[in-house]
Amino acid sequence: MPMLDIKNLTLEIDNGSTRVKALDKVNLTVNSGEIRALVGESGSGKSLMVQAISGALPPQWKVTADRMSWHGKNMLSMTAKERRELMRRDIGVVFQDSITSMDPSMTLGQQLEEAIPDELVNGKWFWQRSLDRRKTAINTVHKVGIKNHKHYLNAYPHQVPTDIGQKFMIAMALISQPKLLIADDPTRGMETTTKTKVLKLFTRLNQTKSLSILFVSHDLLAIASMSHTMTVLYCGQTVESGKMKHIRKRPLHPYTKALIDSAPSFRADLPPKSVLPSLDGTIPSLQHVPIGCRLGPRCPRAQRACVSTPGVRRIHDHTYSCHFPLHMEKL
Amino acid sequence: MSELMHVSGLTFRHSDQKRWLKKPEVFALGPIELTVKRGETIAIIGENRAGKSLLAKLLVGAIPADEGEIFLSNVMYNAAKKKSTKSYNSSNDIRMIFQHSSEAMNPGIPVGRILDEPLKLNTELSESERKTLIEDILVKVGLLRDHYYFYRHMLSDGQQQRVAIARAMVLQPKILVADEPFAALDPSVRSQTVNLILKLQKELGLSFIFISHNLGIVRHIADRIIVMDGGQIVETGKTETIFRWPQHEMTKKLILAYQSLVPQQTLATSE
Repeated sequence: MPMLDIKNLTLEIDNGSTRVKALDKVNLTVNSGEIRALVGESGSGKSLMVQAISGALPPQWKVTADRMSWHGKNMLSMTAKERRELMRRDIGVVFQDSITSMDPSMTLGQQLEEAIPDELVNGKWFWQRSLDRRKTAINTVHKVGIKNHKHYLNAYPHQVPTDIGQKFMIAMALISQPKLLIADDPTRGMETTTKTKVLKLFTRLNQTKSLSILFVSHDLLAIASMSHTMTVLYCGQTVESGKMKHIRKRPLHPYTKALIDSAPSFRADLPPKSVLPSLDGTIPSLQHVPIGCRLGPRCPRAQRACVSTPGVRRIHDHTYSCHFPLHMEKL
Repeated sequence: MSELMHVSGLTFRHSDQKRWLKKPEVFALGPIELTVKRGETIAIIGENRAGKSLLAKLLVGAIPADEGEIFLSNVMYNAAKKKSTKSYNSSNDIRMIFQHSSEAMNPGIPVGRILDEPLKLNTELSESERKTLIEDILVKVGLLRDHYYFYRHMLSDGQQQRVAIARAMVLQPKILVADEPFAALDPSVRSQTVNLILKLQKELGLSFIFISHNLGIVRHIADRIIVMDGGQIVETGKTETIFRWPQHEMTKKLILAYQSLVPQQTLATSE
């Protein structure tokens, strides 16, 4: 049974007169012990997905779903307290804007120690417990690759560079030893060496502690190196979902193909300085989403049928929604 | 290929004394020796705080250097601040694209005026001449003439990036310096920008110096790579040479980190 199971999640936002579907029937499952990548460009609704799962959406936005369950328990009908308990103990979230999502009036050390649940602290008396908290905090900070812990634990969020903030955010999510880690673009703007370290940490935690990870990013190189399965999101619609190696080898949806083509590292045969294949145009804004398949106006294979939303089709465990998928002749 | 820019002995020192008795943190850049040929693409890579952005700013003269000389097409372009010279010479041959291109534009004036300002300040052209020039450049970077009247917020990310490129190109420079031009862009827009820059280079013979963390793109478009660490250039060389036989520790670290991410099996099965 999947750990986190979301089916047909729809998020509607009222903007004055009209109602916009920011997420339109999105499906996502995360099995235990799996690294699932959620890929999409900015404005595709990846971060909204993260917020919908973590319950951090403004109350006036309407979330409906056929199914949204955690280990078989319905998340939508939970009370606020149960939901918070779940987020506290079982799910760790790394938010996108690390520095701004931390408390500006507390030092990083205080915030990190506060995030340690009581049952993970050893010691009987308060001084023993506070020492133990400190020790756990330092250990976790070292684990995410911050060396100068003395300096950074006593610093305030505005005093640290962004990459340290990102690492602290990861440390804060990991310190309560969650079962699922939701990482919203954790490696954005990091240089390659740091990025590799963070990704290795994630892989190791996945292997040793069987931590499930929902890795939200558009960095395909990072995703391809670590994740087992992948879900591609475009403009609030799930486009394709399946095993990483199948998708990479044979993407069925034109958008997935464009996304994979956009990373020159995937193609050794690409001559240097040649023109990269790319889709025309940019992602439409939420006010002007096209009807039917939202890729429609940018899609090289679009035909008349594309004005109606394609249903989800399935080949083994590879699902896609496209009327005219690629590579069909080979199947 | 002829030599377009020659940099010698460029240094910059920054000391940051926070408290009276505390040892000041000194950051020294250089001395930097560098030559740029016509039509060449140079990538600067390195870790954070290696001085990459600083070097880019020194090259265009956004920050005056402490010492050193820059020759731009055999004309001395005064990079160092000297008390004797009253103003340092400006040059239209080198322009820069800033790191956050959208935030580096004035939100209160339309694109046309954003592009008009460098022309007004640096050339003697009349208003109608400037307007035709701006319209030409807009078309060249793949926008429409109508975008002259658009404001920043009306444009998408990719279009803003195009405006940033247009602003750098409008004075017809010979060298374009860009600080992380691709970092904030989405994959599909990034490919479009890469294609645009390659096209412009082919048409106009521009030299292009850029900073990037994305080694995949560096490998794709750069001719030569400069590796920086702690304010020094630690290695330079042809792209393939650097990727295949890195010599310096820092280069090895960067290349290995990159290669550990690149899946090996895709290389064989890619179509």
